Amino acid sequence: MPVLAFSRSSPHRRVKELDDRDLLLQMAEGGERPNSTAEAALDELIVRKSEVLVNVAFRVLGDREEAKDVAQMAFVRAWDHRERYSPQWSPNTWLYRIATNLAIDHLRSRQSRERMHEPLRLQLRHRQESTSARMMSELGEKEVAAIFDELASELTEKQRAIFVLREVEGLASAEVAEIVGCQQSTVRNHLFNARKLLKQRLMERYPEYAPQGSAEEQLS
Amino acid sequence: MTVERPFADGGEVRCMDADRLRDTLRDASVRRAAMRRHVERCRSCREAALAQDPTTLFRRLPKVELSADEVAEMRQRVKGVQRARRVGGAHRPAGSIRSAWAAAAGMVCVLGGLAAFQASTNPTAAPLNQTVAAGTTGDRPVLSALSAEDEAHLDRALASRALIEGDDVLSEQVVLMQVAGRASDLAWVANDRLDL
Repeated sequence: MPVLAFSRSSPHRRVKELDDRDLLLQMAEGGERPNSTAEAALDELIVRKSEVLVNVAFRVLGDREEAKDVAQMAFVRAWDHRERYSPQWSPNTWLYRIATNLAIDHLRSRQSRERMHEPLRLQLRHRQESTSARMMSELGEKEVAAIFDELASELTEKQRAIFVLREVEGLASAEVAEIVGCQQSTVRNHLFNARKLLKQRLMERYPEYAPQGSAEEQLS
Repeated sequence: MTVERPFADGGEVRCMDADRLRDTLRDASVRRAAMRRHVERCRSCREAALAQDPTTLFRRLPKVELSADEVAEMRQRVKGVQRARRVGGAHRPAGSIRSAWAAAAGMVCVLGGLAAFQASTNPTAAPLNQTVAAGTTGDRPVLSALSAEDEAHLDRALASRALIEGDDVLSEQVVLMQVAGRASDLAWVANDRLDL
């Protein structure tokens, strides 16, 4: 049976020693032949970045399999546009940009909004010393994901992507602006509106988690 | 009690550790990242942040962890797209993974049609049998020596499959083909065949 053999001097071994930026440069310069150094670089990029890209796509789309599809398409697109990569850009920003735009497109093209659903009424976990913030902080990840999925369906695709990148991924506004291709002020506007809507819906549909009193009152 | 906003427009936290981070870290982005990590770990700070801004709840969206198999599958699929493009000879936009299964069914139908055609034109020839098994397990037949005609036949089938499936060449497919009228069984693993 034919077996793909990796030799010590193969391009596959060398790419492991490259940082992300050099990997992308090698992808751009390494040629188009099968098993070229460019393909080896792409292969290594997939190993390093699959989980990162799947996660950002998952948080935008809310579906693991769709997120994997989008991540795959992002790698193919990164390959197609490899000559456009410039070393002045952060590799992560470049890849995030491709994946986020694909995720936004994917979100827009969903034929039916099957993820729009009736408000989920989660069972309250009654605790003796329950405050709403404490109850919220006790929620499991799956419950958080379910609530987000429900509430974020009312955001625009861009609002959702920006909220995910800034609040969930923790990226700086400047980087988010670069990824989604807009001004920082626009990012802040989208973020403000996304937070406002999410907060409103959280209060409406899950009033048991509504904050009780201001932070100053809690401090006194 | 000190009140500190962990990030430019985030919540407020109130603990000594948060105070120390705010006082010692001057770089805004470093401070922000450190405060964020702290809020994840510190229950009182997390509750304070939630009280100030309930949307901080969504910082705990679950993380997807990919298994080694899933990463390997991703690599194979992307390689498959590249190979299909080389076979097709043109740039194609990436298609949906999920169409691959429908495409495989289409492939079987095309080959089945070929078999029927061959049977109708040459009743004495052995029928063209195809077995497509997707997956990474199972014995793989040995690659046999191919005649020029067999090569041409396989190339046509491969090109047909690439056209049917678009960019999504299924990895690890074993296609067993018995060319009508020939003794040799042609068996090949799809990915290896594409590398030849």
